[in-house]
Amino acid sequence: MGSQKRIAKELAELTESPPDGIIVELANESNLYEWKVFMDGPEDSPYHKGRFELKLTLPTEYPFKPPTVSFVTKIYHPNVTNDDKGSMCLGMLKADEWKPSSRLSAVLEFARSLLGEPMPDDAVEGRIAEQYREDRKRYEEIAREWTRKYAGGAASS
Amino acid sequence: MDTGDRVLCHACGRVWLRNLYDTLDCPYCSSDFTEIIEIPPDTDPEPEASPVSSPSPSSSQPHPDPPESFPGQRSPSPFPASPFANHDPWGHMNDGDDHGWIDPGYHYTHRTFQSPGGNIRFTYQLRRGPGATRGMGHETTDPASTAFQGFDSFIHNMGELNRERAARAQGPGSPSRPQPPRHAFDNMYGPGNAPRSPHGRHHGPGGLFPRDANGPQPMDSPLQNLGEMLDIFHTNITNLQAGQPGGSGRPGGPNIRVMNGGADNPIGALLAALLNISRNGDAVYSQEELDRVISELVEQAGNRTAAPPASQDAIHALPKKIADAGLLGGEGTECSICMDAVKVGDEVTVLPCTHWFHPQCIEMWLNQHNSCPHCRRGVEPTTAPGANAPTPTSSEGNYDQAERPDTNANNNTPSTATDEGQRSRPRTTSRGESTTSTSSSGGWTGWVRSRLGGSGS
Repeated sequence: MGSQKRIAKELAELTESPPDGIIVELANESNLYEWKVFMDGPEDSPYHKGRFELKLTLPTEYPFKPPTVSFVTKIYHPNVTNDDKGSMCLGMLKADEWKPSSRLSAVLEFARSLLGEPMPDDAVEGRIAEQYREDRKRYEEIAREWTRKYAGGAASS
Repeated sequence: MDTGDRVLCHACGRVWLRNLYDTLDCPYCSSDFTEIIEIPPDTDPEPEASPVSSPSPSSSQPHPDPPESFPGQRSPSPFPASPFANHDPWGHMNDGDDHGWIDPGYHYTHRTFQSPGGNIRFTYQLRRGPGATRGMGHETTDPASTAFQGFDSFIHNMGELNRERAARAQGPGSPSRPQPPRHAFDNMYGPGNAPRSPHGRHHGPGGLFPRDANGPQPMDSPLQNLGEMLDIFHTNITNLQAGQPGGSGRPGGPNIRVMNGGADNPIGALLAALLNISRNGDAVYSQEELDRVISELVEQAGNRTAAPPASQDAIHALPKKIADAGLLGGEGTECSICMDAVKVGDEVTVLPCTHWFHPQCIEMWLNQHNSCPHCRRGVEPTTAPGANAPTPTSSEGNYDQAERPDTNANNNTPSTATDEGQRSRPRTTSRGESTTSTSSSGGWTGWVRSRLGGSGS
């Protein structure tokens, strides 16, 4: 009840004045708890010019429990699992770090900033993190290639 | 006059003529654990006409339900260690009378393998013949034999280990159970009595010797060895546990022990493998199970790292205020939990850190975590000593909760361990299927879980 009200409010705010490079909509108009997010790769990142689709899922206990964010579009990134789940590990979304006063806009902006500045120490893909640290050039090459390959299509809706 | 196959019910031990009934289910007890047997065990052809004819007890007990003791009374034996050494499992197949019963095109071979200790045995039936239409389900072919061979050596190894262990335990002076010489069974086969199996797999290095499936079973308490081994296993684990009291070092920390089957505990490892087979991966010997345990622990850890719920006393002790302009001025005008506006005159709950929320909103949060949703400062005296509204009881309640998982983990081990030793003794049937597979979660699982401190909390 209370959570729906807050979610609706946050959604309204995000649609009315979306943060840079982020577009939010409901995956299904009748379900407030599943959001579809389109995120443009930040400039100065190998993800630039890519548009990534993300799924934001809110628990029914929101805002007392954190939302989860996952990439629908494949992405080569140390902090996103390289599987069909595309889970993104955001520190602020961990159960022990989540604050109910965090807003979804902040969550999404943080996720976007993570595209520009990966956190290899908090990686879920250790191999990519290592490459990011040791062979930045190669990492950027692959990330760019994946972006072209998977996120390169024209902005869809 | 071949009256057809007979069917043996493994559940009730009765035998009947197959062609009298349409199904293979037991007409007496409705069990479907039946087996077509080609050669009537101890019965004569004539009484077979009556389907009710129940074979003599000795042959109708394919699974050794434990009679107390029956120390080799069947036949006087030159091998005291093996009362059955004299027994000729295939003798009756060469018997003139029996020939009328054997379709010459078929060879039926019953094998029972017995562990060196004599207490684990394992039986199968081998059928070879020109046609594959009769005796469905009995086309035992090479793969199966191979599997059995593997099992042979497994059982054998287990027996060896156990024997060594027992010898060590009993000390050099005391007589350990006499074992038949390794190749004693070679002597058992008289010139004309060599087993018919062309594979001869049972000749392998094991101290195993073939037995007739339908012949008299050794009647000493079955699987005594396995039971003893289980006990040893439990004892080992318990000792290991006891030797490492560090499990309680960290409050609430789960006491994890992944048995790796190292060389220091071969029996445990072997038993683990055995139990794993028969119990569908109970315990942590498989990767799958290990994963399950780990994810369980991660879940628990996730819950633990988050701030614990605040006590009701602490929640109720928080001061409520009517919002005024001064209060609202500092940090916006909405409750950061529900994001609803707060107007002057609304009631708010103020935390020790001076952050304020709707009373119902903050209560919901505090019921899960005892810190401020904004700044994470604790709302209870233990974590926020300078705060107002402390009550001594609240800290105690909190303490209790933090301690509880550990208490769980340390309880219930001694009793369950002994229960377990009895409950989880598997019995092998004449088909080598272990009947323990059905005795499920309460036992071993529970025991292991309690070891791991999970116990569903």
